Order: sequence, then C-alpha cells, then structure tokens
Amino acid sequence: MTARSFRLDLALLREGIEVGWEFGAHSLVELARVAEYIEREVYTAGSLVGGPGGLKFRLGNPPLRLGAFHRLVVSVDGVIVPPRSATVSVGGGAPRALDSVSRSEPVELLPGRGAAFTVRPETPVPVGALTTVRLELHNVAIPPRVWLEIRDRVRPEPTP
Amino acid sequence: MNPSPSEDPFDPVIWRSPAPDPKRPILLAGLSAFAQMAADGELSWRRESRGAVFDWGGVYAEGVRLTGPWTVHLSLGGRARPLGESLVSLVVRRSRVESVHHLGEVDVLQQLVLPPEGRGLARRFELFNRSDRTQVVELTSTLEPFLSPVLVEGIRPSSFRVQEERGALRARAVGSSFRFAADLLPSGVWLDEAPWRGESREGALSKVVHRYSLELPARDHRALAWLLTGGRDRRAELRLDLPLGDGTDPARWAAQAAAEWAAWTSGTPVLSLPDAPEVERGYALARGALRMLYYAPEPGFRALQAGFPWYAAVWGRDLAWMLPAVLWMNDSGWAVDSLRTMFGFQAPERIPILGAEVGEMPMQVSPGPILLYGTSDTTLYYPERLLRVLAHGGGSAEMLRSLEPHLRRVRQWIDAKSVPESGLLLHGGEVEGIREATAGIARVACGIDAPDTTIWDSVDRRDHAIDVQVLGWQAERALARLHELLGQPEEARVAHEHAERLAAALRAGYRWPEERYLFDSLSRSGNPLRHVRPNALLAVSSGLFPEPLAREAFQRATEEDLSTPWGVRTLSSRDPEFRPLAYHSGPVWPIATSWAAQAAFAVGEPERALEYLALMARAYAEEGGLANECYRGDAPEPWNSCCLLGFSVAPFLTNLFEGLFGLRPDLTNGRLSVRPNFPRGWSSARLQNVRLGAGTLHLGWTPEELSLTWTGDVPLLLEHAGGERSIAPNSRVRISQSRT
Repeated sequence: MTARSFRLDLALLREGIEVGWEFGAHSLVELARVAEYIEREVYTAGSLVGGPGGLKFRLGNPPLRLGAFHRLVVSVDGVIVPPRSATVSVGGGAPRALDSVSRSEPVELLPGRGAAFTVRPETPVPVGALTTVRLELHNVAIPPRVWLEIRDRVRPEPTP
Repeated sequence: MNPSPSEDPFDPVIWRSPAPDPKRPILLAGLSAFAQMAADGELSWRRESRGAVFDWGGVYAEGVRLTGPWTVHLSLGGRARPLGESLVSLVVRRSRVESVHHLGEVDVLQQLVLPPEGRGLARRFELFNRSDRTQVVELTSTLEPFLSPVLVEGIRPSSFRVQEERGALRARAVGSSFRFAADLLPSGVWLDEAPWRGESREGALSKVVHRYSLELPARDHRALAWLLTGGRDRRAELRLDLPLGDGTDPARWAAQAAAEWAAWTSGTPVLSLPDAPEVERGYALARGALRMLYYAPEPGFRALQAGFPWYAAVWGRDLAWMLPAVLWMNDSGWAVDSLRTMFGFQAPERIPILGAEVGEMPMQVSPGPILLYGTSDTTLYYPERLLRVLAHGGGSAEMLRSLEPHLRRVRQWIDAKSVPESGLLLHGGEVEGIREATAGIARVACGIDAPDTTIWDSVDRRDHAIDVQVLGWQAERALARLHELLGQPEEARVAHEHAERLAAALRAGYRWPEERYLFDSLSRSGNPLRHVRPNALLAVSSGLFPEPLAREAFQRATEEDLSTPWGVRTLSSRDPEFRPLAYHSGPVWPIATSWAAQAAFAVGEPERALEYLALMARAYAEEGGLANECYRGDAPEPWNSCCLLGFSVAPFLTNLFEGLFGLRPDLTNGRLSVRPNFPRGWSSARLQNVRLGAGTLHLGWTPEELSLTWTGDVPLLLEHAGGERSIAPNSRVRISQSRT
C-alpha cells in the first residue's frame, strides 16, 4: 500500500477535459466534485483574517492526511513564521505554540475536527493584501511532508 | 440462547468472543459494501492510524464511507447501557455476524448481514423476555453521518441534507447518500439534539438518533430490523429501496450470503498438509480474507479492493499482487475481468494533472470513476499478470488480441522510463510532475511531497530500485512471450533484448559483497544505496542471480535485523535510518515476509519458507481471519495498519501453490511444471480441485511418490525434477520420487 492516499492539486481538476474525453463525463464530474469537496472542506473559506494578534485562519478538516503530526511549519508569502510565533487550536481546545509540538506531544488532526491557526509574521500583513499562507505538516507514522497552500485576501478580524 | 451453533464447513466460524473486545476488528464484506465493527457487537472500532486514534466503525459502500460509528444503547427500566457492554457471545462468519447480549431478564440476539442486492448493512435485533412479566426495552440507534469518498482521507463534510423518504431517513452530501429504514416506527428521531419529524433540513450534523420502545410480553419475543443502504447518489436512487417490512429479510439475506460463501469456497482448491496443520488453517483463513476483497461496485467494474477500512479502493499495484492468488482460487474469470477493468483505465496519453504518462496503469481507481496515476512500478506488473492468466488457461486469444494496443502503450511507458546508457528503469519525481502541472492555479492547493513512488513510497529509493528493475525484467519477458503469441516476432525480439539488458545490468550493478546481499538501489551515476531491505529478495527468487549468491543473500535476510519473530522488516534495524514506526523505514510488513518465504523456496530452503508461512498463518488465526497491513518494527503490534490488506494474504496463498507445491502452469504451451518443495520429514501433502483451463488437477505427494490426476480434455506435458512426461486427458500418473 502506498503512503499517498490522495495528492492532487485541486482547482485544476476542473480543467481535466481530457479525462472526460478518455474516461467519460461521469469521471470528470466525479473528479471535479472531489476536488471541490477538498477545497471547500479543508480551508474554511474567508477565514483568513488579520488584526492586532496577527493572522488567523481555520481548517475544517486535515489536508489529505489525518493523524498525529510532530512538526508544523507555517510560512506567509514565502517567509517561515518562527514556531514560537504561531499557535494551533484543535477542536476548540486551548491554543498550542508550534514550538511545543513534538513526537511525544504531537498535534492530532482528525476528520471533521477543525483547527484554528494564529500566526504572527515578523513583517505584518495588512488587511486587504492578497496573501499566500503555506502550512507544512510532518506525520509521526508516514514521513513525506503534507502541505497546504491558501491564497486569499486578508479580511479584517471581526470585532467581538 | 446460542446464535446459529451449527457448523458449516464452507462458511465456518472464524472468530468467537465470549466477552466484549472493542479493540478487535470485525469485518463483513460484500462485492460493493462492507461494515467495519468491533468484537463487542458495535459498529465502532477505534484504531490508531497515522499515529492518532480515530473511530473507523460504520458502513461503507461504493467507495463511500456512509456512516461513522453506529452504536446502540439498550435500556430496561433504567440507565441506557451501550450494547457492547452487555455482550456475552459474538460469532463471526464470513457471511454474517451474530452477537448475544444479556440485559437483565431480556436476551438480545443481534444479526448483521450485507443485503445481496443493496449497498449497505442490515442489522436485526430479536429480544426475548425470559421473565413472567411484561418488560419494556428502549433501544436507541445513534449513527454519525459521514458520506465522504473513502479515498479522500481525513475529510468529513461540514453539511448534510436530510429528508424523509417514504418513511425512511435519507441523508445526502458530496454526491452520495444513505437511507436508514426500519420495520417498526420509532418513538422518536433526533438530528443532533433536535427532534425531527420528517422535515427537510440542511446543515451541520453529527448524529442521527432513532429511539424505539419495545413492549415484551412475558416469555415472549419481538424483533426489530434496520437497513442502512447507500452509495453514490447518481445510482443510489435506483437501487436502495430494498424490501424491509416483515422483519424476516435479514434472516433470508443471511442464508443467501451463507449459500454464496459456501458455493464460492467449495469451488476453490482443497489443501491438506498433515505435517503443517497451522499452515493448512492459514490457507483457509487467507482464502476467505482474499474473497472479502472482491469488488464489483458497478457494471463493467470488477477487481479487488486493496484493504479495509481506509484503503477500500482498487489500487493497481495491490491488485497485481492479488491476481496470482485469484487464479489459484479457480477464479480466472474474475482475474480476466480485473485485467480488463484496469487496462480500461490505462492512460492513452499524458494527463499531467492526474500524474499519468502515456501507457501508465492507474495507481488507484474508485467508482465514478475517480482515478489517479503516478507510481514507479504499477504498469510493470501487468504484462506478466496478463501472461499468467493465459498460462493458467484463463482468457482467450481474442482477449489477448483486444489488449494488444494496451501492450504497445506499456512498451511506450517502459521506453520512456529506460535510461539508454544503462538499460535500467528510472523512477522518482512523479509527484513533482503533478505539482508542476498545477502550480499557481488553485486558490487552495494541497499535496504530499513523496519524492519517489515505489512499493515503499514514503521513502526515497531513487533512481534505480532493485525491485523496479526486477519487475521491468519480468515485464519485458512477459511482453516477449505475449508478442510471440500475437505473432509479432519483431516486438518479441525487442522485448527479449530489453530483458537481457536489464538482467545483465542487475547482475553487474547490484552485488554487495561486504554485506553478502544486494544493493537496494543505484543512483543514476551508479552509486549504490546501501540499505538492507527485503526488496532484494524479489531478485533472489527471480532466478536472476547464480545460486551461491542468491542463497547467501537469502541467508543474510534471515538475520534478526531484518527477520523478526513476527515477520520481515522493511529496513534493517542496524540501518541508521531505521525507524520502527515510520511506515516503510522499519515496520514489519507481511508482504515482505511472503517475499522471504518465496526466496526460501527459490534457494531450496523449504524449512525456512515454512517458518515464514507459519508465522503468517498464526497471525491470520490470531487476527480472526483478517491480516494486518503492517506491524511496528520493534514489537509485534499493528501500527498505522489497515486490519485487512490483500498484500498480506494473497502472496501467502501464491506461495503455497507455486512455492510449496511447485506448480507453474503454461497452458499456452500445454505444459505444467511440478516441482514440490516439501520440508524434510514431511509425510504427505495433497492438493485437489486446481482448475487449469478446462481441466482440473489433483495432486498427491509422499516422499516416495508424486501422483497427479488430470481431467482436462487435452494432454499436458509435465515437467518434474526427474524430467518430462505426458499426462493424457482424464488420466492419472505416478512419479516415483526416488527416481527423481
């Protein structure tokens, strides 16, 4: 069995006309549906917000792989955010700094269990900026790195 | 009250639990659906996977996980108790599961069966009141809707649409749906905490609760049946409304399922190993486990699933490892259909977004179809598997002709991977290709950085892994023979030359004298990767290397850094990169254990082969007729492991036929090679009902004599250790072992 359960770039599947040509329209519909499903259910659309506490974004589900992760790395516009300057809160639990994550105390990401991230890049990102956030996850049981890239405009953080 | 105590030799009890064991997996599987449960009678099974514990229990159909855990609570005038806590007996057969529960003076019999026509699970309860007064039992079903494609690991929809449909509850999400029906009206239904009276509703939903109040007169009984069916929504509408009215259907379905299992089992070969009863029992368990993986989710789509629960899709590589065993189970028709299914998804051109090169066979196919490519080796298996089917007497000349264009595409795929200077096959970078094809276009993108995609695809074995080269050699040899059969001598000559070149490159470049082993891989510049992995055993058993070297390499693999009492590791524990919990960098994989057994037979060490096979057989028995995908590298405990993987049973079966009994049919030439490899000290062995083409072979062995009975309508030329002799149609031959 392979380590890669699913490894597709997402929106491009919609462009897979040749797939429909070769394997039937049903295949195209199903592939596009799966692509949309992942896109919709992993990153919570519009959740990238900025405010005094830094950038925040939410995931509704783990990206492509569930399980325990011993290392999480976040970068913003290509610059890695120091792990002490980023936190993750899983399933509404208390935020954990990414530098506290380890093999003995991994972060568990499971289906349907959301995760909220807060990151404080050394160079603040203004509200309204089109920003790329990249999250890299290292699983304790399967080595290859899992990654997620979100390109979205930073919205203002709602006032409580 | 005992559930079905009678024993059926063709659908026997494979597991019995006298007490709840919620950690032990129990599976029910049909051709398009399966149910994952635990040995406490619940459809809930919490299992470590990818390092975290998650509940994989529930009902799956057509490549869709319909539900998450589906649990039951029973209440008799007080606190509701989980069904699992009250279990006093669980009996598992391949066709059905039955459990008995005690609730005060009420006995509860639960029966679970997969409906033969529907895609889902029937769950029936029969409650017996042993007391002299009327009792009221509250029975509560709680299920978590899931409705997500199995291959999309780790994602559950955030929104579900629920509606009433002719007295049943229908839930929809992501192009799939399930329907929950019962033969009694519930006293109440709740969606999460809100009462539901049949109105349409859309939104987040974590549980669906149905509650039933059953009044049981003194010394009387009542029954309640549920039917949960579903799958991809496009077809689901046509098929889901199975009858469920009088509460008797599940019993009828159970009888039908038992009859189907019995019919299949009675058509398979019968193996008798008086000197290794454990292995004989392992044969029966592995055979049943393999059959659970047979898959026919829609017309024209027949193959085998890779495993349960999270690899419940057709994986091209895994299927290739299963097909030889399918043939030995007398199912050449299923093997032919599987080949047609997979060649139907061979990429006729480059499809970069799916990682496909011209001629590539798919890594994974699910109903839809949903398909993906991008492995280093899957394509290489298929010429040999096609030839094997023909050699077994399956398929036909017409089938071969119809697949000829596909063989040409395989040729293209191989040629594109071949390095002209060395003749070796290059691999790696398949995933990067997908990334490059899709970079910068998506708003949300995700991926896994697997640099290489051999069978151990979580590790980097670039550029020329030994097993990929052996597969390439086998593919070329098969192509040569297939083109001969097609009357294409030039294509055959080219394939033969490629095979010779690969063989020479393997012999010249992979010897590792210091380790008395073979290198795991070479870089493109020729530098070896010095890792002791079991993959080199495939080269040992291929016969590519001279016997002293092959024997020495096998001996090296038996050392305790690679071979453990619970199987063979994916990497030597002496290797600096050994990690006992890292998927392919140290854990024990049963498929690697079967490679060791195969290599042992190849170098003439059947005693060692039987040791490996016996430990696999013991695992099947301990695991209740299932077979883990892998175990920790430092302890005999499953880790990040599906509870059943075809990899873990099919090569075991193939080893019994091809290694132990030494059978190699080539009906394209009218030949059968029989070179048994029984350990010293064995007294006898027997194999009956092996179907080869239109005939059937029965084989008996003692140290003195080999006897074969052949019922075919054409003669066979037997090749045995002492020479050759013909066996006429419908005749028997005896070959003295002393003369051989």
